[in-house]
Amino acid sequence: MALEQFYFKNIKLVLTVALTLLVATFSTAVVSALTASTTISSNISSVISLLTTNGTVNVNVVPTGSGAQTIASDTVTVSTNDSSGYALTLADTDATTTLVSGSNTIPASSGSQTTPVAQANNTWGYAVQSLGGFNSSGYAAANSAAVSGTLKFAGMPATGSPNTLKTTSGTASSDTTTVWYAVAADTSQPSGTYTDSVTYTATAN
Amino acid sequence: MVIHRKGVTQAYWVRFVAVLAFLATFCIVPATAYAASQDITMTPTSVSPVINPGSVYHGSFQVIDQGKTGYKFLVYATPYRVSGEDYTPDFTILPTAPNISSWLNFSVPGGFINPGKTITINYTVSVPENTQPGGYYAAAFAETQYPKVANSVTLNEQVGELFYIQVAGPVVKKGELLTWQSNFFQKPPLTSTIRLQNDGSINYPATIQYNVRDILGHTKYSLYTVKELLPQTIRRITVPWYKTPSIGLFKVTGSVSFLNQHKTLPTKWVLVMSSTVRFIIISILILVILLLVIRPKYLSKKKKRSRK
Repeated sequence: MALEQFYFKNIKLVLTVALTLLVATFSTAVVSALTASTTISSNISSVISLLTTNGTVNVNVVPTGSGAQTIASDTVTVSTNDSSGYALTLADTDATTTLVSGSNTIPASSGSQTTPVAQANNTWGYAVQSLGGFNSSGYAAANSAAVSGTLKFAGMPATGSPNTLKTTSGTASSDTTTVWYAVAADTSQPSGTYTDSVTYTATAN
Repeated sequence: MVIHRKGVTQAYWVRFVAVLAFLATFCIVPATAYAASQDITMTPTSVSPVINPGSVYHGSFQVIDQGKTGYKFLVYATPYRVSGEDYTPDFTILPTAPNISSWLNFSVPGGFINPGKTITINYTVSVPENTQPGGYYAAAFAETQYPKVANSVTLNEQVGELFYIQVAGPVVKKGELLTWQSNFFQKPPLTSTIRLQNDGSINYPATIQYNVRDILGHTKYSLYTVKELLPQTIRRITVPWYKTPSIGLFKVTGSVSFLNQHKTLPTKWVLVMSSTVRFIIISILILVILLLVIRPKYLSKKKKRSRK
């Protein structure tokens, strides 16, 4: 009885306390909901890209009796976000490794990447400075100059057995490799427009 | 006479300019490359599907042209294997091995891609019935098709996606760390080598964490890499630090994780000295030795003279 009288006499106080408790309870619930965590998930795809400075390399020669050599370069750029790195290889696009002009040909150099050789007349080849047995310096553009006795070149391997130009351990951003191409010819080589195609291949390592 | 001279001079200059124009047109061009570049990108770079014998796996990859010129491209598949511990990639068909590339079929054989565009190539991998469980490997390539140009070497580019296919069933997963080497005395670049072996019937990834610190403990170089090991092969992973200074003492640490094993590589100390630094140090040492040998003799002679 005394308790009922207390409630009626202090009805305002009781309501205020009850309302406060109610608000406090719901506020806590709202705060709890606000602090709930959300997981952000993102899958970054692995990509690999390959770019050459030029679609073609011109190696025209004006031959001389003792032989003339033209050297030109191409820069290959590889980028990958694959943490395994990349492998870059080079090979002829087909099984024929000669430069062809109708029925005339210019054979590939007799050297290999491990044991390249100074270029002989009427051959073509490639070099990557400091790779394998290639010279560690000296490669530069030349236009129908005297055939270098010191610069070494290798023959282009046929498709299916490419030579590895570079392998990397991790990701790469615009990693460049300069490849030098050379043709040496003397006046015994029939004139004509000689062509061939090579393929750079980049895969994850 | 004067008029004649003038006439000769004018004719000479006309000829000279004509020859220059001819040379500029036909002779200066040859040693330079002129064709536009092609930029080919492929994503993803590898895929590892697990497929039941007699089942077909559906997937896709994208070819992207991030360059400024469009080009024709070709899509095709080859087998994939490696040779040697350096893992030289080999994409040729072996008559004695199953031609895994025949399992792959593409939605289109290629096409033309415009600059800034992406083309999605869908493919299926059909595993024949009764194929033994284990690892089978192939590569899918997208190759630019640049037309041949007279008197030129035409440069085509191709990028590949490697297929690490696991034909479902019981497989043997077995591998080990063979060697971890980092010689104490080196010339730049500081180089370390890890050799891993896969004795099983399926490929496995090995995660390598590699760190180079100076004597104060500051990290100078670190590398995180994941390498796939094909079955029944040994892989030598060479880690060069290309920006190694000419001289320095470094602490090399690392770890390798594979097949639920985590191996901490023993710490190696490496003293790096370039050829120039070695030459300078040896020269200084020779000078010091000479001074130590010659100076006492000189002093003793001087003493003798002074006594006399």
